[in-house]
Amino acid sequence: MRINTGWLRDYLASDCQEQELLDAFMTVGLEVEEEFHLAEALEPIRIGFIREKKPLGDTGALYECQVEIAKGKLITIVCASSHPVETGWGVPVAVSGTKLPSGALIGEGKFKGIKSEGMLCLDGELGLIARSTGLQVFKDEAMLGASLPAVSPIQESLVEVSVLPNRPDCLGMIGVAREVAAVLGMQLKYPSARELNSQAGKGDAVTVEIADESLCSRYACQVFDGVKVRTSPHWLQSRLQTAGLRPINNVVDITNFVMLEWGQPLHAFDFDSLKGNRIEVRRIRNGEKLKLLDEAEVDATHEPLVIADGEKPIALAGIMGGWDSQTTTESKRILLEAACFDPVCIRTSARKLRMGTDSSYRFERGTDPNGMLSGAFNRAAELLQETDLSAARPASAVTDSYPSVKQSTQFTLSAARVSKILGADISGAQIKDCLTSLDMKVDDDLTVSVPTWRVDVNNEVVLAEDVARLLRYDSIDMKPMMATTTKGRVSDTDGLRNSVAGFLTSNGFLECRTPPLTTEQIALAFSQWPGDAIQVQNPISKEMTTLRQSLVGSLIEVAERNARRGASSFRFFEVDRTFRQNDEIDERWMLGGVLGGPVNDSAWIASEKDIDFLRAKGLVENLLSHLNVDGCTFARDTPANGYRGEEFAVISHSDQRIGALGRIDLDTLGIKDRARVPLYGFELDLTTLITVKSPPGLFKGLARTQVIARDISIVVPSDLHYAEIETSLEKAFAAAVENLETEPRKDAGADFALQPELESVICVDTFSGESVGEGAMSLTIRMLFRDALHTLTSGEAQQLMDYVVKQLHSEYGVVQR
Amino acid sequence: MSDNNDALVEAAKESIAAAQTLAELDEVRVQYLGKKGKLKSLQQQLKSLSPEEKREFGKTLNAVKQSIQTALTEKKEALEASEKTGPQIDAIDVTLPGVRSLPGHRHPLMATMEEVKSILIGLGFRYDDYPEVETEFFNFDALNTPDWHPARDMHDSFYTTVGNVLRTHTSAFQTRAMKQFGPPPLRAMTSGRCYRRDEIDASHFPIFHQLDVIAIDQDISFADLKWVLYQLASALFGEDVQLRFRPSYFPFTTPSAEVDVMFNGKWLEILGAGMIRPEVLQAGGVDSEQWQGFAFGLGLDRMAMIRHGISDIRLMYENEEAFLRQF
Repeated sequence: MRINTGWLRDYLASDCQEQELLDAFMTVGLEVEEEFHLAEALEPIRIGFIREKKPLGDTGALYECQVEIAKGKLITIVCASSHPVETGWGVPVAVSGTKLPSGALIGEGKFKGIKSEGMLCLDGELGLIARSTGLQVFKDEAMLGASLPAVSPIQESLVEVSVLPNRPDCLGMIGVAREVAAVLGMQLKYPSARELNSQAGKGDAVTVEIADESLCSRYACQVFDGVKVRTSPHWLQSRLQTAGLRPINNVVDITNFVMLEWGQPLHAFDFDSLKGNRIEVRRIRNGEKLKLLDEAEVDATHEPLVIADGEKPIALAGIMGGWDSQTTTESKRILLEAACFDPVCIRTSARKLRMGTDSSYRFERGTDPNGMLSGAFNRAAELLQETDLSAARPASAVTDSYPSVKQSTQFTLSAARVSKILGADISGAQIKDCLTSLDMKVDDDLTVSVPTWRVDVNNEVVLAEDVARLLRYDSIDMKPMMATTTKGRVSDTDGLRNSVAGFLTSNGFLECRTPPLTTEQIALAFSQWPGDAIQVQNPISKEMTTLRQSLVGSLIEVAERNARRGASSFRFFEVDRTFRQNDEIDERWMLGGVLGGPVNDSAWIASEKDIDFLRAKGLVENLLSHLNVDGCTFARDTPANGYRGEEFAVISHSDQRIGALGRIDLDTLGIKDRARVPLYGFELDLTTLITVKSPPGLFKGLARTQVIARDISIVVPSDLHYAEIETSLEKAFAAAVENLETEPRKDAGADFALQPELESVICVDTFSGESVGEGAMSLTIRMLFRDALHTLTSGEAQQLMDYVVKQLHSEYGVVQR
Repeated sequence: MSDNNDALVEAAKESIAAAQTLAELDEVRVQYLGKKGKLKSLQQQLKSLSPEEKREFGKTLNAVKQSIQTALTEKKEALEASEKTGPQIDAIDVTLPGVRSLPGHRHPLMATMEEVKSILIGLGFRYDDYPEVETEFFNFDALNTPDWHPARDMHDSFYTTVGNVLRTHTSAFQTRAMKQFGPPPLRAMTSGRCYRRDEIDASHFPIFHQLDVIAIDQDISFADLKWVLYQLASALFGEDVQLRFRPSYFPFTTPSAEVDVMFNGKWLEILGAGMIRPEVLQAGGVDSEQWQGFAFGLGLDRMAMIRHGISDIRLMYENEEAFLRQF
């Protein structure tokens, strides 16, 4: 809601500094979205003098003016005739390109072929409430080109306040003024007496029938005749304009003005267009149609609540008036209406019809059936009768249908309870003072009657909040939390996630955050586990439709985006959930990584190597060992969509799939290769890893004997997997130990046994080529072994190696080189 | 004989001078003075000499041995001394860049999240994860926001299947935690992604991060909430941090507050907080007559942007290397 503070002061009984007023908004909890001190915000508005004025076209509605905006500088401005202007007048001018505090940008317009380079600004258009005639006129030529605030003192501010949904009472000036007055210790000044003006006309009162009082708790109306429908005076027009409403005619303007003042929407029907001297509040009937003020047509599809006369619907209740019953300059008699509708009913209709108006906005949040008549209706009736407005006369009595009167809610507070919630010593007297200043009735035993405009007070804690607000939150001193000690801790998965991030950042990886909601293609590529896609029913773009099942796709996008920016080295990771619909929704924590490019970012070293499959695998192996996950295997498998088959492995832990590693296939993803180096992707399922990681390691002792290193070089068929050879080699070694004949030692007695253990098996070289022969590969494998108590002799070591080679030969026919 | 000896000493001295390292010097020593060294072979000749010649030759040998030994000792001292002063200054250009891969970096958002978490763990809050595909019940209804409530307009949700939304705020965890951990005292938190159908601009992204906290005990008050928030803020922004508490509205807390921090001379909104509504405690199975507590939630994107001076939220999701390397 946009509030001009000059207008707001109409409702404050005493004066205060502008800044105090602005601070009060925040103190009391009215959220200020934007704040314009008009003296500053109107600085770009200049005083221009009208040098020439001639009618444009023959309607008499437009004038073409030559306006001098600086000494000797003339511009053309086309202005409408809503306010008279004369040659020789100095007026506020906004040249095209100026942004007004209302947010409107003055553009260059073309009217009947004439280019208009600016706008002559009325007070309301500038966000000001009208000074006198609504247009400030300067006669002193010395003011030519001066900035408006420099020649016309401006105190007002324009404040965009966001009224939170619990406080519809603050959707009107009076509600806001009540809050501000309470916190500034002022009195609220109502614009009119809050009792129904008993004047009634002689005509028959309109009959009102409410079909369902749960949907409309109160309906009041009165006929006025002799109505002069015309342009509103400037004090009224400018006030509407400061709030962002367009003046239409005085009757419509009065209903809008009173809505802005009281937060209660009103409507005025052209009474002569209605039939049967009767109003019904009911659901629309099958077959009925209603044309609205915005010329849209509503039918019975969503069964909205309507206002009907004796024959047909005439307005969409709480949302918008009807076209055929609108007040026009031709209207002679009008029917003024005020009502209180059920918020849920109005909200449901507005949602289904996709319509939102100033009126529905207020009804949805809740209006006050008691203030409706004595406040808003009464005020509008008075304004209609004013001679400089529509000079109307009541032509009937007020019909007031109010089947069950809404009573104010009562709560009995205790100072102890309020003090306990706030953590401060609050006395009964303080509570009483605070709540009384909000127009609540408070007895000495702290029984509080809450006025019916406060629809938010449904629990005593709200009253505790009111007390805290008015005492000001800053006055409540903090105090160290004295409560039962609780154990702070991270969850296991969270610990694992941080461990992963720590390892990867230490290895040169950059952590990314990419959207989990992505295109279907990226969301489903690289997926390792079964489960249906989860899609959103109401996406905002085709880039965000599906919850992803793998992180790799998004990271490939990151790599390619960086390649486009000239990157040549790629190491990216992300830890996040993936989503699958199985019997239940499976939210699985994953680690995704993408890497490629030089192993080291040292381009000046000519021998720098690029990352390949085995280097990527080495990194994943180290990560797994960092996480204390032992015994993982890498095996060939059918690759998930997006990986290339010849360089792909699934990673398993005792038959459980925990991840994958492979070279990215950009073609299947339809991504243009800008990286120009092989990219590798890997993924680990952290949710499963947490269940298979080993407990903290136990100390195994330190061997003091010498380790023996022996290499064997063998030629194997090239389709034999290294992992199989390694397994066989380990078995062969164990058998060799069984058959080992010990050699005598000086430092040991006759009966000692050797139990050498294989500490590691490392592939140190692979080679294939002509010298090895087709379909074969030469491997050099280094074995490190030792006995914990006795250093092996070279003879013993040779026995072991001979045995191992013999075994491998008999198993695979391998040849020792 | 003596010429021969002189030549031997000269050769030895040359070898000694040529030795560059202690190891090389030791090789020279072995070559001349070792068990199978050249001096030993000369000594062999003694056997075949007359006693007179023996004495004479012995003296000569001693002199030879002594001069070699002296040369060795001098050289050894020199080498040891030079080893202490380090290698030749121009041996390698130490100013060449090290061979390395560039260091990795955590995402500023995640670094901020971890920091906030660690502060709160120190204050006794437990961290757990909760679903992102959430039921409307936990996301809204349990938080005193029934279907017809206008406050739902503030959260334009993504719907997946009937009754499920992508959580619009981490506050959805509140009643889940209450139910899961049973009767208070309870101090719990969670953090992570939230989703709203917001248009993308410099300060909005449809997917963002929050961290939410609850504390429930017999008389945890608004004053306690202020204390905890000051602990958090001073750890993040420094001991002399200034906070401002403004009344606000959340359907699930009353009194509610927006909290601003003074940063670079401006008040910046950083979090929403308040006392948990009795209705919410009841929805979480907690007796609101016996227990009370506070809740607060903060936008981590905004927090990271404030801390690092990032002006546009979109930068955080574009993951440009030049961006990520700055934190």
